[in-house]
Amino acid sequence: MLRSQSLSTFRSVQEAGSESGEAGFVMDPDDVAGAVRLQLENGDSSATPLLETQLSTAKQKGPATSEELPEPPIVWLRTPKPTLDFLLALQKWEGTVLSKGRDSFQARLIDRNRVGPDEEAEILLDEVSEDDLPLVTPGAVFYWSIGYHTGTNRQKRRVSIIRFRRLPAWTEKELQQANEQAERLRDLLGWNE
Amino acid sequence: MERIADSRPDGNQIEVSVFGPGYGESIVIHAGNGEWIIVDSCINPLSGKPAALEYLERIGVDPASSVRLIVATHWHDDHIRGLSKIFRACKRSDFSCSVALQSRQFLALVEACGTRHMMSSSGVDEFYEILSAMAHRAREASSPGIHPRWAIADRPLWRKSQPGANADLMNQVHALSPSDAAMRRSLEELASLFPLGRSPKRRVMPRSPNHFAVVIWANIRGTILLLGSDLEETNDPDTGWAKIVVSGTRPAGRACLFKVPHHGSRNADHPAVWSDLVDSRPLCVLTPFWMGSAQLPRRSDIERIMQHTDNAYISADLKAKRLKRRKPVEEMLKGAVRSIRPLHSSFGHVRVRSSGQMDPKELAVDLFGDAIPLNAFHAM
Repeated sequence: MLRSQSLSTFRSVQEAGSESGEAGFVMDPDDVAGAVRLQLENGDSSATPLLETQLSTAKQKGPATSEELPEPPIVWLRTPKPTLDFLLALQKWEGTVLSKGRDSFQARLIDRNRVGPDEEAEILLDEVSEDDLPLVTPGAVFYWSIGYHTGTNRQKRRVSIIRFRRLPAWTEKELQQANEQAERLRDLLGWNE
Repeated sequence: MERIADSRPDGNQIEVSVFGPGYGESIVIHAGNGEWIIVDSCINPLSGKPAALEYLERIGVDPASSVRLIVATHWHDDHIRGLSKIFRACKRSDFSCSVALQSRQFLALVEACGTRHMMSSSGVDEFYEILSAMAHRAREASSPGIHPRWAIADRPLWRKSQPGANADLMNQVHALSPSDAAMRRSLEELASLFPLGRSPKRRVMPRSPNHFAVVIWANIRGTILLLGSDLEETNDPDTGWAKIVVSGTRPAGRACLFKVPHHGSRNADHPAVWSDLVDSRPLCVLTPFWMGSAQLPRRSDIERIMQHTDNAYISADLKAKRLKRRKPVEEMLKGAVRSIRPLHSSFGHVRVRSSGQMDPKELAVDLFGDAIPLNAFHAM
């Protein structure tokens, strides 16, 4: 459960990120709290001794009636130093969909670090998340990172993350402005004469 | 090899240089007396610079004072990448493109889609830069290039008399396309490409067939060149090559050099072009195209072209080269892609020079970089 929660947090932060689509360091405080809860539920050995200490202190005061219940003890849990959930990208591309087939799509890829040449690839649709599949259409732009993902559990694994760019839809105002600018440009260049 | 490639033609020599990687093409013409014409633009993948500008600078030609005409045969990315840099550098040059690009539909498309900040470019982005440069010149009251010679079938785009030469030896550049019907189709396409309200933003993808393409007929001191751009044959007799071959108003004569249209594809081939517009056994030059699963020319295209001439060259081969990557990336790719290849793995230059010869066999051909004879091309 922890693993899936962590990954979904990672993904949601990625999707909510800037349009640049950078895959970088991600940490969600709620996720860390969730980890602590789970440690308790699962009897995590690193957290239990501390909890037992605090509870045993309360027990030493003897039994109490319901009217004489002591103040609940303040329990401070020593949590492990939070681990950042991050992706070390070894390769990052910006891609444009050229065409879509039955189980794959053709794409033009540009190295985002401008180190390698432009490339073309036939990418399997299995690499695309369910949410992004409807976005795989000619002209759509996506970001593709390949690298190592380290989760909050400090497990490191190789990942390939394709995230389609969700550009805002065209507004009528933008399109009207484009038409007006075109008209002004034609006037400036004397193309209306 | 480099020394020969870097030599400048003498004043009387005519030169046609065709550059092309696996995606894109550019043609540079020396019209004599130090005057140059540039048709389309592509990027040299080795340097990242527009191939035409790089070449002129390398042979010691000042583009600002020597280039007389720039032609954008159409607005697709593979023909105009880097053209805005050429336009800015060639300060005294006229500019020519399809008359359809004068339309408010095209300018509105450029204004809407030309400023999106994606790394992947489209022809719209490049045209946005060209129009920005034109607007700058207009504000500075500097007129060259801001009133394009709108190309439409059988219209002269440029004419220049040679000192001491008779009218027959006048340099002339004509457009053989687009036809009136093709222009109407172009406008319809532009209207359909303009985004609708609430539609998602994405890269502009041009449609096929290409109705914008400007075919160039250049008579340089009697040596005739036919530059086929990407004009395709359609089922409509009022568009494509079918319209050109029956035109009664196109310039007379037969071309000794033929830049084969649309990378040699079958749908750009019209038999009457070979019988009526070019010499028998003309010198043919073409550029390859490899995008997605489309690779041109195909083996059958090469065989078809070689039936018409044994004097044909291509600017680059399309043998896919393998990139060196980090091992983890390579292993992830194995499970994620069916194929992946560098887009511009080769680049070459076919140079043809003439000192007034009109026989294709007498033209001097030099191949540089990855350029090869067409019959040595590795086609699918």
